[in-house]
Amino acid sequence: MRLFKRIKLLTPESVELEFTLAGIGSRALAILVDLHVLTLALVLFWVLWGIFSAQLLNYLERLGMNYRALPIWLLAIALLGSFIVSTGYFAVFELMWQGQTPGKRFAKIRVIRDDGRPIGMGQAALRALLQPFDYFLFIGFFLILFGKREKRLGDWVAGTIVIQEERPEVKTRLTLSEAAKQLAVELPNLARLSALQPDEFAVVSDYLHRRDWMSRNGRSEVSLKLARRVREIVQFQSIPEGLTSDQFLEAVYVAYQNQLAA
Amino acid sequence: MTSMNLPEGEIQPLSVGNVVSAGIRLYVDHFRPYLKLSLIAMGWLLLPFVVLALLVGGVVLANPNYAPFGLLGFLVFVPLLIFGTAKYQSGAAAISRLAFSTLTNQPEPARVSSRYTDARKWSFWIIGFLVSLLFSGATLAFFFAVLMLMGVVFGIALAVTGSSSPEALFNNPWTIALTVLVMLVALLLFLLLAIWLAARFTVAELPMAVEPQATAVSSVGRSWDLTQRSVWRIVLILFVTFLITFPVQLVVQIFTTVIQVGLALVIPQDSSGYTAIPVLASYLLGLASGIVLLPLWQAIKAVIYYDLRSRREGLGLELPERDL
Repeated sequence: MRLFKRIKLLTPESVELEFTLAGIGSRALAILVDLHVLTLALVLFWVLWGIFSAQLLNYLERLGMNYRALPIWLLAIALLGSFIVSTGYFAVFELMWQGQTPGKRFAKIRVIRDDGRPIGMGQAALRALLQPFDYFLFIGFFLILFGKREKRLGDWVAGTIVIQEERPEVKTRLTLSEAAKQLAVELPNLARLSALQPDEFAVVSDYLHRRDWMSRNGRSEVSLKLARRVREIVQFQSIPEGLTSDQFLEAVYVAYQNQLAA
Repeated sequence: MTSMNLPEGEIQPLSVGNVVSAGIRLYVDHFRPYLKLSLIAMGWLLLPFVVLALLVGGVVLANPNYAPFGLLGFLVFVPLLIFGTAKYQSGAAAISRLAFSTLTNQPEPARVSSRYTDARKWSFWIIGFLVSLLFSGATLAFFFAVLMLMGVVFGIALAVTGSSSPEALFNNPWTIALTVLVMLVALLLFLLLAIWLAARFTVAELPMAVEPQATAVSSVGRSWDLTQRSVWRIVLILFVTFLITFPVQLVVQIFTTVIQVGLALVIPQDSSGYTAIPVLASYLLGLASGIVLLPLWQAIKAVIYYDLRSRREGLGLELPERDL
C-alpha cells in the first residue's frame, strides 16, 4: 500500500533519483519543534533588547539629554529585529544545514530543489518570506495535503520539495551468541544457504536488529516462526542439541554474509 | 550487501511524523466511508440527549405539574444513554478496524467492519468504562497524595515554628507563597500524569476491534503492555495530530458561519428563533467538528496500534510464501 508518495527526479547530470516525500505529519512535527525553538530565541532577543534599552535610557537620563523620541525607535528596531529573527531562522538554517532546520532535523526531513540539488540562498529566502501566506487560513497545510508533490506556496515559488531523509541506517552491532558463530562455520556444509533469497535474508536481518525492542512473547513467536521457515528453505536437517531458534537465525545471518563476501 | 528497496513503512517501524502522515492519508483516501461511520456513531451518542430534550420540552409545555415525570424521564434517559454510548464506541472502533485492515493489506468492506464491532458493542462499552474508572482512580489517588503531602508539610511547619495557633501560620506570607508553589507544581505534575495515562490507554479498544480472541479487560491490558516503551513517542504523535485539527476546525467553522449567516437572513429579526441562532450555531460547530475529527483520531490510533505491534511483536515480519 502506498501511504507515502515517492517521486523520481532527474538531476542536471541526467541521473534519476528516487525520494519519498516528507508527508504532512513530519512537516507539522518539524514546524512544531521549530516554533518552540524560535519562541525561545525571540524571548531571549526581547529580554536582551529590553535590558539594553533600559540601560541606554538610564545612561541618557544621567547625561540629561532629551530622549523623548527614542523609545519609539527602540520599539521599532525591536519589531524589525523580531521579523529578521523569525524569517532568518528558517532561511539561515535551511541554507547552512543543506535544507534542514532544527525541527526538520528532528523530524528527519530535508528541503531540496526540484532537480535534486541542495537549496541555495534564493530558495531558502523565498520559502521563509512566503511563510506568513502559508499560515494564513492554513493555505500551506491544504496545499501540502492535496497537492501533487506536497508543495506549499513557498515550495511552488522557490521550486523546492521536502523529502524524507533516507540516512543509511547505522546498523547497531548485533550481539551474536557463541553457539551461533560456531554453527555458522559449519552451516554451508549442512544446509543450502544459496536457496535463501536476498529479501528473505533481509527479513531475518530485520528481526535480529529489532528483537531487543520486542516483548518476550512476541519475540519468541516471531523467532520460532522465522526459524522454522528458514529451516525449510535451506533444508537444514540435523539440528544440534539445544539449539534455539534465535541462535539458528543468527548463524544463518553470519553464514549468509560470509558467503556473500567470499 | 544488496540494497533493500523495502517500501517505506511496510515493515519498518514508523517515525512520529510518518505515523501522523499515514493516519491522515488513510482518512483522506477513505473519506466517505469513515465520515459515514462517524455520522452514525455521533448520531447514536446524541440520541439520548435529543430524546431527553424532546421529552422535557413536551412535558413542560403540556403539563405544569411535571415533577412526577422526572423519574420517568430518568428511566428513559439513562438506559438510552448507556446504549447510545455503546453504539458510539462500537462505531468509532469500526473506523479503527477499517483503517487497520487497510494497513495490513487485508481490506474489508465498511459493512463487515461495523457489523464486527457492533456485535461486540458491550465489550467496547466496558472498555470505555474501565478506562474512565482508571483515570478517575488515578486522579483521586493523586489528589489525596497531594492533600496528605500538604498536611505533612503543614504539620512540620507547625512543629518547627513552635507556634500553637494555626491562624498565625496561615497569615504568614511564606506559607501562602509555599502553598501556591506546591499547588502549581502539583497541577503541572497532574497534567503530565494525565497525558502519560492517556498515552498508555490510547489503543485500549484496538485489540478488541481487531483481535478475535480479545476480551474487554484483556484489550485494556494489551494497550498497557504495547505502549510500554513508547509513551512519549505516542504523546508527541497525539500532540502533532492535535495541531493538525486546527485547520480542519477552521474549515468547519467557515461552514457553520455560512449557515449561520444564511439562517440570519431568512429568519425574521424579532422572533424567538432569531435569538436562538448563535446558540444553535455553536452547537452545530461543536457537533460538526466532532463528526469530522472522530475518523482522524481513530485512524491515528489504528496506525499507532499497527506500529506498536510491528515494533513489539514483529507484525509484518514474515517470509513471503513461495514454493520450495
